[in-house]
Amino acid sequence: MIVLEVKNLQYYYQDGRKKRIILDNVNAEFETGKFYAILGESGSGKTTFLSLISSLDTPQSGEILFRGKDIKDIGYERYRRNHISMVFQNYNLIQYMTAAENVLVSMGITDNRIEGNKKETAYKLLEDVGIDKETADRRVNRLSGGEQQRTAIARALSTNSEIIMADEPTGNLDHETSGEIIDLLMNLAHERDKCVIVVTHDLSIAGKSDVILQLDTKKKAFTIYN
Amino acid sequence: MTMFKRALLCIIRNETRSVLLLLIIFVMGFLMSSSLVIEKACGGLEEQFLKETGLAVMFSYDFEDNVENNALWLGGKKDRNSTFSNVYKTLNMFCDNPYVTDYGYNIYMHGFSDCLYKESSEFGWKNVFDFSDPYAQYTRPLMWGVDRTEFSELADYVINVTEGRSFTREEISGGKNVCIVNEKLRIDKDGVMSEIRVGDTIPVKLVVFSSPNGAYNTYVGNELYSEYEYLKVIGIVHYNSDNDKAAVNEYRDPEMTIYMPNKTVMMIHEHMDNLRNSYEIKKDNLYGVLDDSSLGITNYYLQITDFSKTAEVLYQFEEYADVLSEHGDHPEYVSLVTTKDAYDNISWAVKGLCTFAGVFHKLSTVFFIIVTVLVVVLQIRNRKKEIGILLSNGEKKSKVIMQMILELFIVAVVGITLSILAGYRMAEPVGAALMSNTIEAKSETMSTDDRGNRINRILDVDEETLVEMFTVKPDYNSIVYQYFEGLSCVMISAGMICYAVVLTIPRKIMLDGD
Ligand SMILES: Nc1ncnc2c1ncn2[C@@H]1O[C@H](COP(=O)(O)OP(=O)(O)OP(=O)(O)O)[C@@H](O)[C@H]1O
Ligand SMILES: [Mg+2]
Repeated sequence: MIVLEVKNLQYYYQDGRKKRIILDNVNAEFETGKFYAILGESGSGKTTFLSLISSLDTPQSGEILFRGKDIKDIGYERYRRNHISMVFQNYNLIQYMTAAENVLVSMGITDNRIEGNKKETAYKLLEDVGIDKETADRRVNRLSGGEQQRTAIARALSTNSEIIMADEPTGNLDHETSGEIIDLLMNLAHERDKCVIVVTHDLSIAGKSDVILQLDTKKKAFTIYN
Repeated sequence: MTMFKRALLCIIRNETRSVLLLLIIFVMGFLMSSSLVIEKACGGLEEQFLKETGLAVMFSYDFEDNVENNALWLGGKKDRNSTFSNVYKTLNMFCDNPYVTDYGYNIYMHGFSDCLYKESSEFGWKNVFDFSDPYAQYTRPLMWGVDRTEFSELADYVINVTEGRSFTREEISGGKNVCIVNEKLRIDKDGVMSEIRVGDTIPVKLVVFSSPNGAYNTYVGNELYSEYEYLKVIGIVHYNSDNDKAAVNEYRDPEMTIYMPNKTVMMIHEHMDNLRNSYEIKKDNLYGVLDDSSLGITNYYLQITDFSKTAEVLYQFEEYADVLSEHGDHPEYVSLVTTKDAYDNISWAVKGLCTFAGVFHKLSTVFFIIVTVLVVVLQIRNRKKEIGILLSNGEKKSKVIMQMILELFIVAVVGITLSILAGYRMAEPVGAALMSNTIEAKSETMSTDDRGNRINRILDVDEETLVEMFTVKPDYNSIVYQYFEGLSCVMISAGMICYAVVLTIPRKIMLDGD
């Protein structure tokens, strides 16, 4: 089921008088239950693309449709609050809070809250990503990179959103932990019916994904491999 | 997790940051509130001083210099009543106003013992005090207030009672026919001791003379009618020349004085005026014996004390008295000295401190604002990531701003509460010490004459009195004001929070670099 649709997207940076086009006439479709890998050379515009579909930035032209509705019309903040979740390379957790508190903060913001006791839900989500209660009650700055990224994934799940976007989520992790994190994200797509979009350099991840979107530097658009 | 919980968690978990902010708010708030409290306490000192010293008022009318204006000033009634009773009435006009509850005054004339002579009557020889003698010399008791009902010269040890007693309050207020006689007056013209004793009765001779010239100068006319009033001698006094420090004695010979209650003199005079008027002789042919030029009434000295009213009443009275004194062409002859003047004489250190505290307060307010803005800006810079996380989670910018303002507000309330407490605790000793130092430093270069005038000496107050009176009392309005002011200073920084959050671009923070 198509949850996110990108149509004729154009994005450029204004370098003085010159337009530096990064994305040109980009089209893509994303469905629930699938794991998408976005590949491309460094500087090709992967992060830029992600920032557009996550509404952290806006394109100069083109449309981004969430369930057929332009995200502009949904409202960028509300779109971020209720329909997408993000996982970052540098985890982006609130350092002075515990893992559980980070999850609870997100749950407090979304309008899409999971039913039931909030604290129990938070611990349950953390347990699902492999964080036990003792670890969940530790401050984030005392967790390992892997544990932090698991927490970030739990946080992404806590808002009940259909789309989870990740920008090089394993970039700061060792090989083994990377594998675990990717497995976790794949599970979200396949078992929890999420639409998972991951920007990565890791070809082995790309190999396991359902769809690969290769960002062509010349074309400034995707070549899609199913 | 609600915004409120987030704010609390942020304060509790970032102990160093919160404590630093708290400390800054506390210190700055302390400087601000203690200086405000000192400023307010200085301002309130005047009222307190007036309350405690009982709002004494001294009024003096320089009659001698103002003889011509006298008639005008007294309402032009010179032709009907004696000047003397007019003066009394004028004084009453001051005293019977709604602001004065208790007063006394002193009118005196100078003369010789000639006024006391022996006269034969059907009862034999008697000492007679000739009230109509132009050299008659008598004075009335000056009351200084509830706690000093003795008349002034007794209170100042200028005279002391050697036989009998002083006046009672009833005799003074009731205008009883009683008198106190100086011991020198017991010696008659021929140097022989007269027989005046305590308990004796002195007849007072009231005379109506004809005035062939129609002029108010001397009593050259015939004695048309006379009558006697009787004064009971209740005391004999001795005059101590060493202790005569009272300015009222300037023109009077204290050794030749008969003292009577004010009201008694007034009543006798009024009686005499009535006698004269009821004699039904045209005014041009008569004149009152107590003509000012012949008697040389020189100075009126009035002291009014009010122990129950507020400072406001004093100011109202001053206004009232000012209007009265302006009736004359020469208001400069009338002077009014009040407790407020006493305060002004000694309050220079208080006023200095008040100004200093005021300036200090304003400076510390400005400093407070600048320092908190700087600290808040620095703290926001370290929280960019956190703001970005919340925003990328879809939190509204307004809620992020509210959370951060709430954090600031909570810390500010705690800090300002502590600073107000400390401010009240320290304002009194600090203020008193500052004042004492200034007084000490200045008093070395100051002669004793500079330090207050007569009213200050009467009230027995000086600069140190004010230091002792300097108290700091917390009051509801002031505390509310201090909270308002402190929180306002801190909350100006909220503007910086809004600015920083509104300008935050989460994309840059979240996706670029690490
Ligand atoms: N603020 C900016 N102004 C101008 N150019 C920018 C700006 N931000 C990024 N770029 C450029 O846009 C291009 C795309 O950047 P982007 O971060 O999307 O690349 P990327 O594919 O994510 O690369 P990497 O794999 O290294 O993360 C780059 O060439 C970058 O230099
Ligand atoms: Mg990138």
